[in-house]
Formats: sequence, C-alpha cells, structure tokens
Amino acid sequence: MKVLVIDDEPLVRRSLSRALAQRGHQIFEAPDGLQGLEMWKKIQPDLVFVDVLMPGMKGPDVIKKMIGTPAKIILMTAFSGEEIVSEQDLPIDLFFKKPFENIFDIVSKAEELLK
Amino acid sequence: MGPVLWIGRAFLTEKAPTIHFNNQNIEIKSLDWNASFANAFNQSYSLIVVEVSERGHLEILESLRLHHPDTWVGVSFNQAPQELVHRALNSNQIRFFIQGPDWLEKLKAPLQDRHIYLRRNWLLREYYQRNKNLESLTSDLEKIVLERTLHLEQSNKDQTERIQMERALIRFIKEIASMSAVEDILKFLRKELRKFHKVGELVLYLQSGSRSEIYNFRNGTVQKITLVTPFKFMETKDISSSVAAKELANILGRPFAKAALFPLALTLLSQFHEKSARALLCFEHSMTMEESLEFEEFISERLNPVSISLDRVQLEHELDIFSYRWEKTFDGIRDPLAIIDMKYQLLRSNKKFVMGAKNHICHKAFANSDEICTGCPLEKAVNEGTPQTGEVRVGQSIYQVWSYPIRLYPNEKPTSFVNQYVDVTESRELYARMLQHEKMGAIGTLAGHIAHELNNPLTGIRSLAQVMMSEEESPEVRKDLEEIEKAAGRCQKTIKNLLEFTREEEVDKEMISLDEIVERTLPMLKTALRSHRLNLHLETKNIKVAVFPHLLQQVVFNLVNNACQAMIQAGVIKIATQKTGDKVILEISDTGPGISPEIKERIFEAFFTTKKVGEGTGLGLSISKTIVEKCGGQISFQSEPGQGTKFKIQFLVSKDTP
Repeated sequence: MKVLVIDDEPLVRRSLSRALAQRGHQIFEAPDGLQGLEMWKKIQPDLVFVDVLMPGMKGPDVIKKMIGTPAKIILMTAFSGEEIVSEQDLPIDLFFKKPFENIFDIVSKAEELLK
Repeated sequence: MGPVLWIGRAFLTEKAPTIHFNNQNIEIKSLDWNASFANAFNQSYSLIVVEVSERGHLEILESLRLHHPDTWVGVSFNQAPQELVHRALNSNQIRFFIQGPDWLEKLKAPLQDRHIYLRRNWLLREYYQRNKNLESLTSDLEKIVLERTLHLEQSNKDQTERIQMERALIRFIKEIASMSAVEDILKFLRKELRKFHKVGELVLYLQSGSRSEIYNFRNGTVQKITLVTPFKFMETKDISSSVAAKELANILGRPFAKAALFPLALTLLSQFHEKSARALLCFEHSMTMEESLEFEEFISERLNPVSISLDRVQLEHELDIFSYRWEKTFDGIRDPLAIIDMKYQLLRSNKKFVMGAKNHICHKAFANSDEICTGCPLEKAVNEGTPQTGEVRVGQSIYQVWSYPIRLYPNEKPTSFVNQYVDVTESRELYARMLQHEKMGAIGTLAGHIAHELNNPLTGIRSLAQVMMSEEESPEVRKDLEEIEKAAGRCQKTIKNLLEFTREEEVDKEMISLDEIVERTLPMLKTALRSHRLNLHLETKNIKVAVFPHLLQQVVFNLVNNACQAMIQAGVIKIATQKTGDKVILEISDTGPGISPEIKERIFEAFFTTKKVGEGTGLGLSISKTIVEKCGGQISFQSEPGQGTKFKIQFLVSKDTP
C-alpha cells in the first residue's frame, strides 16, 4: 500500500515511515501542505497522514483539496483536534492526538482502516 | 357834695350864700315857692330844704317826694302854725328840720348826715362792686382751673393709655421673641387679636426655598398644609384681597370672607434661600373701612416683631433640618470622614471614622496610634493648599486618603481639612487577583505554544525511539533507546501537567486525592527542590476530596517554592498527607528560619512580601489562601524563629469516598 505522511516535524515523519515500512508499506513523505498535495497527485496513495499545524498550508486545507479521493485520511494534532474536525466538516477517517503513547498503536489502527 | 336847694325866702335877699363845710364851699341855690322848678333839677342836690309857712307848701313837699325820691328833703319853719308843723314833720319823707334863725349854721348838721350817708353809700357800692369783680375773677379763675384740670386729666389719661399700649407692645415683643415655633407665634397673635370681634381666623402663607406652606387654624389648633405649587398671587407685588380670599378658599376648602393681607419681610430666610422666602399674614374679617383702621394700626405695630420672630423661628427650624440632614448624610457616608485642622485636631468626624479611642487627635481616634499615620497627605495639603492623596495602613486595611482643604472665604488660607478614607483593601486584592489572572493567562497561552512546539519533536523522539527499539538487536542500544523513550514520556507528562496548571477556564470541582495533586505538582518543582532534600509521606492515596485540582496544584507549588526559597542553606522539605477523623490534612514544612512574629499577622495579605522588589509579588500566599477557601478548606501555619515553618491545609473528606 502507498502511504503519504505530511508533517513538518521530521522525527514524526521518520518514525511513522519506519514503523509503517516495518509492515511492508511504501512510504512517501512531505514536510508541508503544498508538497504533500503535489505528492498526493503524483502517487495516488491509499493512506494519508496529515498534521494540522504546519508552516504554509495547514492540514485542514490540504484535506479539503483531497475531497473525493479514494485514499483514507488520518489527521494528527498536538492541539485538541475535535473542534477542527467538526467545525470544518472534514472528510477524515481517523484522528490522532499528539503526543502518541505508542507509535505501533497508531500503525495498527491505520492498518485496520485499509482492510 | 352838690349844692343845697332852698325853697323859700330866707336867702332870697342874699347874693349866692355859701356854707363852708368840710373844707368846701357849698353853694346854696335859692328859689321862691312860686318860682318854676322846671330848670332847677338839671343837677343833683345834696340837700333840698323847703320853708313851710302855709298849707300850700306841703304840696311842694309832696311833689318833691314823688319826683325826687332819692334826694334828702328837709323843712324849715319860720312862724308857721303848730298844726302845719306837725303835718310837715309827720311826713316820712322829711329827713331833717331846721328852726331859724341862724339857718346856715343849722344846715351843717344835715349836711354832715348827708355826707356820712353818701360816703357810706359810696363805700357800700364800692364794696359791692369790688366784691362783684372779685367774684367774677374767682369764677374766671375757677373756670380756668377747671379747664386746666380737665385738660390735665385728659392728657394724663392719654399718657396712661399710651404707656399701657406701649407696655402691651413691649410684652408682645418679649413674648413673641422667646417663642420657638411658628405655631406658637400664630396662637399668640390670635389671642392678642381676640378684642377685634370682627376679625376671624388668621392664615399664614409661608414660602421658604422650594417649600410652600399654609398655617391655618382648625378647631383652635394650628394645621399645616404643604402646597405642591406655590401661591400664584404671591408672584405679583400687589396682592388684591379678593384674589387672596378666593385662593385661600380654594386651598382651605371653605368660604373665606374679606381678607386683610399683611406681607412680612423675612430677611434672614431670604438670604438663606437666596431671595426665595416670603410670608403673608391673612386675616379673615367683616370690618368696615373705619373699623379696620384701628385694627390696622394695632397690627401694623406688631408686624415687625412678628416678621422678625417668624424669620428667626423658621430659619432656626430650617437650619435644624439642614444641620440634621447634613449630619445624617455625614454619618451615613460609608467612608471614614474627618474634619481636622492643620495640627491633626479632630473638629468633626463621622461614625465610621472613630475606630480607635474617642479622641480629639485624629490619628488617635482613627488608628489608635500616637503617631501621625504614615502616608497621611494632610501635611502636603497644608503646604500646597490643594487636595492631596496618600495611602494609609491601619491593621489589615489599606486606605486611600484624600485631604481636601476647606476655605471658608475665597482667597484665604484653608482653615480646616476634610480627610476622606477610602478602604481600598478589597479592590487591591481584586486588582492583585486580576493581575495574577492576567499573568497566569499569559503564561497559559505561552505554555500552550511551548507545549505544542515541544510536543511535536517529543512525539517524534518517543515514536522513533519505539520504532528503533523494535528493530534494534543489541540489548545495550535497546536499553539506551528505552531510556530515551522514557525520558521523552516524562517530558510529555510534564508538558501535560503544565498545560493543565495554567488552564484558564473555570472547571468544576473534581474528586481527587491530595496525594495525586502533590504528585502532579512535583515535576514542576524540580528546579526549586534541587538544593534541598524532599521528604514525602503520602498516606491518603485512596481518600478523595472535592477540589479544583489545577488550582490546588498552584497552592502546593507556591508553598513548596516558598519553603525552598526561605531556606538559604540546604534543608529538608517535608510533604505529608494524612487522614484525621473526617479530615484530610496536607502539611508542608521546612527547616528554614521561620516567620518572625512581627509579620505573622500579615503573611496572607495581598502584596505583602519580604522579598526584594521584582523578586516576588507578595501574592503567592494571599492567592493560596483564597484558593484553599474556594475549595472549602482551611489553611493555617505554625512557625517559630529558627524552628522552621509548617503550613497545614485541611479539607473535609468527601462523602463519595469509599
């Protein structure tokens, strides 16, 4: 499966990539919204991880551009993210709050989406 | 004496015979019997002598008696028959008789008689006349005396009346001057007017400032009516009595006959109210014009004293009200107020002011202190002559003090000062709390940002460590990675606590144990505790209390932080929780120098601090106390110099605790 991770924090991108790679997925990374969108168009991923707060284009705006995509979308934030999701009526499939207790929990929940 | 008339022949021959009598030659006029008497009686005679020698001469006697009854007639005989002599002598009109010869000599005796007679007669007449004159004089005098007496009596009566009237007036003035109520004055005036039967009730209209009142007699007592709108007719200068009667009838609700009106001058009241004071006496009467004159005279003499007394009484009354109202207002003011002179002598003060002993020195009365209150702005106000302000502390309270100079006359030095004390303790505390809130809010926002900034890399670090741990085969590296992962986890927890600690929004009380609160707070105190030893005795893990966790965390943080700062050298902080009866107690003690007795009372005061400016706000303990009380608990402390300090916080155990 192709997974795209859009997050400005390299360590988060890295850890997600490595954890997902362990499970045999093909990983693509983007450090901000714009690059993420370009990548999304190019590779047509099955799963996208999007961070809310990033320099430049913010997570919710990225997700809005992706409306209609067959890919599953997971939103992550260090803030309380429930309001953002409900207020903007975003078509997301999962929501994770940072910090993560355990990265493998996240990965297994994401894999469940893909089944 | 007049001449002697001789009727006969004795002297006919002789030429103008005279008799020397009484140093006087008296002529003798001689007429024959037959001669005519027509011209003989042009004059009066002292004596008439008729010679009788025959019967016919008696007729002459008879005629003389008839025609000259007042004249003395005598007879002389010369060879006359006896019978004739008798007849002549028997006639009663004969005053004397002479028998010749020697006539002249013999005439002297009757002349003498006549002389005496005439003289007596004259004297009598004179005496009578004199008497008469005297009588008339006496009568005149008597008349004059009587007149005078009457006049005197009249004037005396007038005088007495005048004096009596004046006395009555003086009595009136004296009486009225001692009166102290408008009602009394009117009653008295009414009594005085009783003698004027045609004068009825009197009504007083009194306008003083914005008040308009009517004093009216009803059944002998004075009734006071307060008018909503003043008398219309009072606005004009000349008040017609008929208009007044109509107006009064309207107000009093009864017919009012003729009205006699007397405006009264209220000088003092006018000055007091700046010209809007007037009074009008109205008498109801049925007098004619003439009758009313006396009344008017009577009343006009009394108008002045009545005006003056009314003026005085009303002014006193209004001043009383004024002063009463002023005092009530003064006493009713919530802030302590004092009127003092420049030497801190108390002239007046309101009830709120006297907090110390009753005293004439202002600081003694206010703060029960022998010294001038620190911060009192009076001296500056005295020097500058303008309102000044300062801050004074009395006990637990902080007062913003204003000194206002009072000038009784413009452009003169102030004679006294009004000191107003506004208690700002509460507003200071509120301000402090607001400041704290703002500060905490700012810190919260900042902490939120920092937390987000840290959370992202921490999440990455921890997650990457987890991923690497799962892939690493070397047990040593794996152990190191584990350490990294754990450290990142602790960091995350600290950040979480920090976020909760600074959370602004009001939250509900939570059921939590004091142990949990302490444990959540400790990570933030690591820096403070670095140089001291921490001694933890937490024994209430399963006993919950209903509190605001993050607020109480702040209290624990403050107390521990304070304790650490108080210990200059390394010491021991002991945090202990225990349950005693239905209470849970949290004790935080240190081994510092303790709190000195002088400041023990003030440590919970807002802004009270022993730290240097810029190092402490003096709010920590004040806020801690507020928080503990808000959570329904109590905070207290024990401290002896050199023995350290122990703060004790206690809460009731929640009933929900199993």
